[in-house]
Amino acid sequence: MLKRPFTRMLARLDGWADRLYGWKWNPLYQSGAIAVLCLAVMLVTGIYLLFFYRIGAPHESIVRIDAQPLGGRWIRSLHRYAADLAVAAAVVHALRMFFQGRSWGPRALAWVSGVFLLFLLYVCGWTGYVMVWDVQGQLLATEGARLLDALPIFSEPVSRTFAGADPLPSAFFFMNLFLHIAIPVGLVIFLWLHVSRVARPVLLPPRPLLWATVGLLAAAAVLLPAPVAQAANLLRIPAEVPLDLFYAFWLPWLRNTPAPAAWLAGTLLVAVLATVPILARPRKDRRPAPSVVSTRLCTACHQCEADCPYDAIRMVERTDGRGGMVAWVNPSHCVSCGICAGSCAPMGVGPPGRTGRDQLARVRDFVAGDAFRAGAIVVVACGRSGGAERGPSNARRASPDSDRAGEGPARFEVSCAGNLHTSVVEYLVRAGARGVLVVACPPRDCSGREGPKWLVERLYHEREAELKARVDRRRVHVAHASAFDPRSVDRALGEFADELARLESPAGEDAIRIDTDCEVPEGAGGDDAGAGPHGPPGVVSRLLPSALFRRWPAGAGRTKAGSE
Amino acid sequence: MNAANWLKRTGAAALAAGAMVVIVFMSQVPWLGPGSEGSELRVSWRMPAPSLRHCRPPTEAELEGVPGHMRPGEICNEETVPFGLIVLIDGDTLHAGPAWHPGRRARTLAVYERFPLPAGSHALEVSFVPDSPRVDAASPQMDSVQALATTLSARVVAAPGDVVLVTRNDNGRLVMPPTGPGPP
Ligand code: HEM
Ligand code: SF4
Ligand code: SF4
Repeated sequence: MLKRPFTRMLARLDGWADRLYGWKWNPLYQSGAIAVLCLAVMLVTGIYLLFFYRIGAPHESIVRIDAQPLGGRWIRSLHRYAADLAVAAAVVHALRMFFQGRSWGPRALAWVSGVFLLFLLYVCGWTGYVMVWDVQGQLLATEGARLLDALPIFSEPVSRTFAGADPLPSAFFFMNLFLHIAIPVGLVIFLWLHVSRVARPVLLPPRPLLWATVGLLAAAAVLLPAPVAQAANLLRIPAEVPLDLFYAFWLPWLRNTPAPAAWLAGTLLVAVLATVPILARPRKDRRPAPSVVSTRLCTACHQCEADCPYDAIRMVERTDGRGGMVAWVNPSHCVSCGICAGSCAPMGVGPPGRTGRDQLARVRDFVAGDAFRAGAIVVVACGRSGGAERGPSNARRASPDSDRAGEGPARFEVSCAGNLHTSVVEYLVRAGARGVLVVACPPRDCSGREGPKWLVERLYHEREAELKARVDRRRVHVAHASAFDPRSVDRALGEFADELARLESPAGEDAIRIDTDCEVPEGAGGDDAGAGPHGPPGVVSRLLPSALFRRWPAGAGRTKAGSE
Repeated sequence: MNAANWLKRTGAAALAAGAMVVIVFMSQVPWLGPGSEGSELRVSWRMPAPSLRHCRPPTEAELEGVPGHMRPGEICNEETVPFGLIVLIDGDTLHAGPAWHPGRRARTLAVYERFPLPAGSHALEVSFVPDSPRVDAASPQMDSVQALATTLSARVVAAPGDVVLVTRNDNGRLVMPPTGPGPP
């Protein structure tokens, strides 16, 4: 009930961030990878801090680190701010997964291990603050002990350790330090589990975003270093506490809450989070069916196995007497993203209703219908992207004339850009479409993970099932636009129409150098890396890595790259 | 780079920097913790659990089948004596209940209670006494158990954030160690 407005709100945020940072560097799409990056920063800075930390005099050792002339304060602050950003990034990442409907079915393992990851991150943070043994650490320790005492498992009140009657045993700080070091090991194990169901997990953001994030953290650590708070004193109740809201937001609430009520609230929260894969699961009749292989059509080329972003396809021995191998889809791993349908040249695999054959049947009807006009641009859009007909950005724009091209393009939708079979594009071009603009989600925001990536490879990089050489690629472009980013689609349409006009003008052939290799000059592609179509040649080609074009002499006969 | 692009990049950098500043601020939000409101009375110590030992000669049935050299002269069991804690402040009973003891067989008795204490001057009385209704008063060992009972009466002046600690010294008396500044 609340999901729709939140989904719209997040999609709108994506749209704004896309406009500002461009889809390649939009940090919202990289929140999981940013969380991993923060863990890495914490690990490196943590090892440095460990050399100077003393169990026997915790707070004094922190004060000494802070006073180091060689930037101990900066490294401590970097460690802390990375820990804060890790929580923020993990929460954004979890929210995205939830609102994109990526929390159930075969993703349940990723979801539940994600909840554990977040929990471990919290415990690691709490032990970190207790290590400092400042006033916040004192409150975390005493409140934590109060909660533990509500459980009927200890023979003595744990809180008595912090009564102040006796000095704190150094065994306590040793245990705490041990936990603070051991939990990251658990984090790594859970991270492995977390991504174990996805093929080729992207664990770090692209390099410019990586260095920008590290740079920002470092700048904050140098310009706004975290001060060392007052030392803990068990015989004083802390009065002025600098609270880290990322890790200790609950302290003010907990102070006035009886321990059983706190346990109840915490258990409820964890239970709700852990059961999201069941609670958020659509009704049985609305769940998309897993992919199915037609053993009659499968030629055992391995391509779907290589492309599946969830490692859901394996090659197995045939049992129908024909000998050799055949693809097999593990239904409990398949998320029904449909990407395998786009991989299969003989159209032998895909979720029911979305295989290459189903798409061809649909595009035939589409071309025969009213929407299609020969000589006009056709938009082939992922149903989740800004190009979708019923998508939030276009549903509001009643007049098709609002498109800059003035052509009110007909739209043909697919469930994911990676689901699109290249023969659909060929069919449209051969049916007389002036050009085909494929609108995909930003690659790192694809709910099937790798749809836009494989699409571009199939269209321009000869990845199986590639767009055939006989199709004029100058009439096929790809644009990336998130659901609330119709402007990118408009701009891409405009640029594409201009390109086509140049192509169709008598001087067009010269203007776009079709008889030369489409090499991209070094350094190109930086300025407007944000939105816009891509696909050689022209303005848009600047957005793609040059490696994509070098092996593609236009018009020349091409050899198949085959499966990877 | 044209002006629009320059503006966009500046905006993007400013937003990222702004987000980082928000993170830094959220990392150290000043909070007036519980110490700003009042003080606390803390009663805490740990001691061997007072216990009574009951012994009796074994019955015939218990000796049956036990080889002669392994037959016990008597069978004893030990019972922890429940103790109660009574806390009065300015004559009002703040707490009267059993001191924490984990079970009848446990060897230690740990007391730990915290009570909010309004800032100011207070008459304080803390008693640690056997929980009489549940004790076998007729037992000859009761005298040594009774000797563990102790009471502290004192006047305390508490400022906000102070902890008034009541503990038990090596002589078995309740005492209030000075709780001056400086980490323990
Ligand atoms: C420290 C915390 C976390 C880190 C470092 C992290 C990192 C990652 C990474 C690197 C991926 C793979 C992304 C890709 O290549 O497509 C991923 C996927 C995923 N994460 Fe997390 N994550 C964290 C916490 C969470 C939390 C708290 C949740 C939810 C409760 C969550 C839910 C998911 C799901 C469902 C996927 C799978 C997406 C898919 O299969 O399409 N993660 N995470
Ligand atoms: S891509 Fe098609 S032909 Fe190739 S292995 Fe998969 S199902 Fe078989
Ligand atoms: S639909 Fe997606 S997850 Fe399922 S087998 Fe095909 S590519 Fe893999």
